[in-house]
Amino acid sequence: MSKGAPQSRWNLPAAPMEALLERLKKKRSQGLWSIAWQRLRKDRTTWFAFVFLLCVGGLSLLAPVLPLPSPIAMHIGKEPLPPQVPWSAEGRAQFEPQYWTLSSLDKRLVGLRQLAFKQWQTGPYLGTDSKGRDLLSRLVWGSRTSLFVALAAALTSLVIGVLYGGFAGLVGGPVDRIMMRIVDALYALPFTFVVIFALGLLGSLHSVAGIGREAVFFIAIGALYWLTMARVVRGQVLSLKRSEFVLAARAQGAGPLRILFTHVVPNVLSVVVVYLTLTIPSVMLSEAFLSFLGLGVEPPKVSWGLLAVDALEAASPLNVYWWLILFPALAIGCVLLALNMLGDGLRDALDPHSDRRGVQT
Amino acid sequence: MSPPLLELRKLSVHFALGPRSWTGKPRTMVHAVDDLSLTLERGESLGLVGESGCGKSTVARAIQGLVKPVSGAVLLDGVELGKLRGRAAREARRRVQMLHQDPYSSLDPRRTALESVVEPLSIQGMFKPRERRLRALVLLELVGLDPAQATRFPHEFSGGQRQRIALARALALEPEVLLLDEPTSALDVSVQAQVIELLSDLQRRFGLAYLFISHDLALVRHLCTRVCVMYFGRLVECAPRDELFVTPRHPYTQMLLACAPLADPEFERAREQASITGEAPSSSNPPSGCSFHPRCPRKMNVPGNRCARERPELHNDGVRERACFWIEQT
Amino acid sequence: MKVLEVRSLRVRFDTPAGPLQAVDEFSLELEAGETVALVGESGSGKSVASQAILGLIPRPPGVIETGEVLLSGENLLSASPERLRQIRGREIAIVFQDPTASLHPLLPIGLQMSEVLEVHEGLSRRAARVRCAKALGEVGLSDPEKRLDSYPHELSGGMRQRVLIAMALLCNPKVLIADEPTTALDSTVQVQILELLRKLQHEHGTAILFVSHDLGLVARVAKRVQVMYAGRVVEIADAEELYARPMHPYTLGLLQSVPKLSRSGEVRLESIPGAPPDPLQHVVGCAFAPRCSFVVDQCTKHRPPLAATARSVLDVVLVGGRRSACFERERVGRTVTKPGALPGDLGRMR
Repeated sequence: MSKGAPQSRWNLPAAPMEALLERLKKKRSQGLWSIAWQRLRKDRTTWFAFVFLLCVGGLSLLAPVLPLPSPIAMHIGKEPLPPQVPWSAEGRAQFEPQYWTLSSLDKRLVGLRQLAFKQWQTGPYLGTDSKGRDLLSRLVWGSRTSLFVALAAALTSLVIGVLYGGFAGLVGGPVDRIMMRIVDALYALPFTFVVIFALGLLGSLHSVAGIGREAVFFIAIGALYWLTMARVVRGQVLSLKRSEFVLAARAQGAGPLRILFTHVVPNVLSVVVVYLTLTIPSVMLSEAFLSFLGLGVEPPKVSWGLLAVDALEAASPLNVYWWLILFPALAIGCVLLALNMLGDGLRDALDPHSDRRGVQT
Repeated sequence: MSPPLLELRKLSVHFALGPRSWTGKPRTMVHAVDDLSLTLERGESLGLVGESGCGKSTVARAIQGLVKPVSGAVLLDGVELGKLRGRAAREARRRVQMLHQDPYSSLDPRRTALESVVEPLSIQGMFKPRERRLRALVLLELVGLDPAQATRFPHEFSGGQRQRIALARALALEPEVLLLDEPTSALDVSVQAQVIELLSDLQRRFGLAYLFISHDLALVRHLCTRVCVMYFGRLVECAPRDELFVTPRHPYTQMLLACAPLADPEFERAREQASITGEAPSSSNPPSGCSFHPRCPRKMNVPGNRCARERPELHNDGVRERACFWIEQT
Repeated sequence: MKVLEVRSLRVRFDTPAGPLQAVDEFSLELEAGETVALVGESGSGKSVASQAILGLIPRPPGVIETGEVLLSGENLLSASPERLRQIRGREIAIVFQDPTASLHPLLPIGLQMSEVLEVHEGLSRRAARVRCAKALGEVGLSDPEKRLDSYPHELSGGMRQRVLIAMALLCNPKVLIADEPTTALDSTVQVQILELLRKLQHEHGTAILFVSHDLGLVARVAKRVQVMYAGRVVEIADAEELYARPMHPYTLGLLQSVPKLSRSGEVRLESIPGAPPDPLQHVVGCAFAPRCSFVVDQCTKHRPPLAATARSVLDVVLVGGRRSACFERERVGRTVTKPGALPGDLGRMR
């Protein structure tokens, strides 16, 4: 017992419970998260989306190890090749390990790949672009950048949004009002201009602190996406603040910090997770758009947005290079669809009442 | 003479109503509780009855310190709760616990039953951590639950069981006063009986004092020894149980009793038909004088239209307390 | 004259968690001008049964397995959607529990009320308004003409419920289903609403099916009572007989657990041990057996029938149309429920 703690006066013998406590420590009932997981697995469309996303994520992580051609090795002067069947010999070349500056881990993985596959590489199954670069390889390598940027930006927006919105909701009163007015004002800013401005401003830091252009980039995006997350979290916190169990905790003498971490945060998390899966598609599209405008990822790095730029560059009134736009578009579309389906499914799975939908006795 | 265990002295709680002006000041105030005084002794069951909107839940909240009164005081053993700070405030908090109405929202859905009961113990620092869990198991058994189910989550329990978990939680700190705010109105009748008898047993065993807030008069008659009737934020009659139910004096009390269901068709037919009119006044447009006068069948008997002009104060006539001009002149 | 008759209704819901038997054998006979109460706790199936009468059960996930709902001889379960639409509001009307949720918040009540007349009787807006004003006057609202232009939020809970009752009775239906119509209201308002229902029934000869969980309230309202448990009707009796001498252990248990206003707390409230069965589980034998203090061996093996059959001595139909779904009904009937408390114990208004 801590110093000065209240004394117990009721005589309730606890010895009979010792054995039970030991037994209970071993088993643990199903929390809302594990139930949600089970529901997710039962729902076929959501499960399919989840598996699909896992595969895409896995592929992009493993990109250096896969026997793909270099995504940036150019062969100028050749016409863009349409998708080739695997057994055709056209367009095939030997493996040229050309990349942008890779991290040491990636370099080792490429080394592994060379050991495993030697000089062999896959052919232009999805075709090549106007600079002779293999589209399949660019698609897979591009997924790394796009997904990474999307995740990082979404997580940044999550952290800022949850802290900001949570604080505003908890504190309430005039502070909350002012904070939300700021959010309203920021909402009014045109997204693209702000990004350009931020990039311009933070870009100068690049030379000072050596921060990569990408880091600047996804901070800028994340810093704009937190607005809706803040609103959502604040709303949730407001309603939680009034809920009976929080009032009960207050009545027992719990301080605001304790209430925040033991009661509010776990109950807000489910909303935040669902919202996160719905933010990521939005961010991906923004990244693609900005890269398309030349404000995002810079060549020689690849992202799905830049693939759209390639498609545009190659467009000519004489030839239709349909594969250059179809495959990137399909890739983006499928991933976005899967994320949305997952978000929907998660929302249903985390809702404790969805087992008996609309059935009242 | 020792002070009563719990005392409310001229308690008033006002709420803001309607949109605020741009400075944040509200335009109208609702007098949810107005100048209310009552006492609760050790081991006593006091019933607080009234219809919806009369302010009885607000009284409970004010006692718990969840809303701040605009005037008046809540005293525990003669000490004003509003003036306490820090450890003394926490000590006082411990002695008054509450059981809420809605079993579905009073427990954190993300904590197991065991964790919910342990929480108050760890907030107040009672016992060593392992002992807290043992104690929680003992409490859960005390309220009639199977302690082997303690690691389940609230959604796995029925409404009645959740109410028992909330009760175990309320008892964890060994309070002296238990505020029961309509604890069974969300439960089925058969479950209600179980919970009420449990409350009765616990009171006998631990000497708890109950403030039982309800709109169900039959339940109050069953459980309480003294009853206070509230209307529109004020007390209109306070009397020992049998006095109130056998000889109610205030016209509103009489109206409530006439409306309460008797659960027996034979008794219903034998009952005198009372004239019940009107509805509770709206908070934004309170009546002048006595708040009950628009519906009162007795106001004609009071000369000079006094009921509409003046507000009656609560008088103690030795048997009971009541606030009514008509009673005074009979 | 029987105006509404339900025979052997069974309703099932196909949920993600499995099939849920919400109503498992429901029958009802309602005569013109009488009030029958349907009593049961949550999960008893009373609301599902009453909504199934009007075809208001969403299907899917609901499935009407068997049964007939006869309105003056016509089976509503096999009626076409157009015919059902004709019947709803005109021959059978329903009033729900929460008056706030039953009214459209953005339309004036006059508009909501006249819709009923425009649809069912083809009246013009103006003619309908006149009828609506008259109906509002009948339910006791002052200034009916002006009220027609008010919005629901301008009225109190009791007034809203009166509006809904007025709406329900506009076309003079033969049957009014009232599903917990006073639960959301204060007791003083409750009494006024019940009085209103009684008066209107007397004037229009409407039959009322009063669905409620409140045994106390039902004693005030109904002539006959049907008690439901776990989706089945377990007892049917005249109200006075039911309260004086219940013949089903569940009814007995309910009556003993209700606190009586006329008595102070010397008598313990007897509660029914255990809990109702999970509707997702199929029950063999009597659904109440696990909680019953009168249980005998055959209760867990065979389901006790409600209707009279000539097969055995136990299934005898009792005097006065009383029915009970219990093998031990005689023994239950010998238990005393009213230990001599007097109604005169309560305060009187002088």
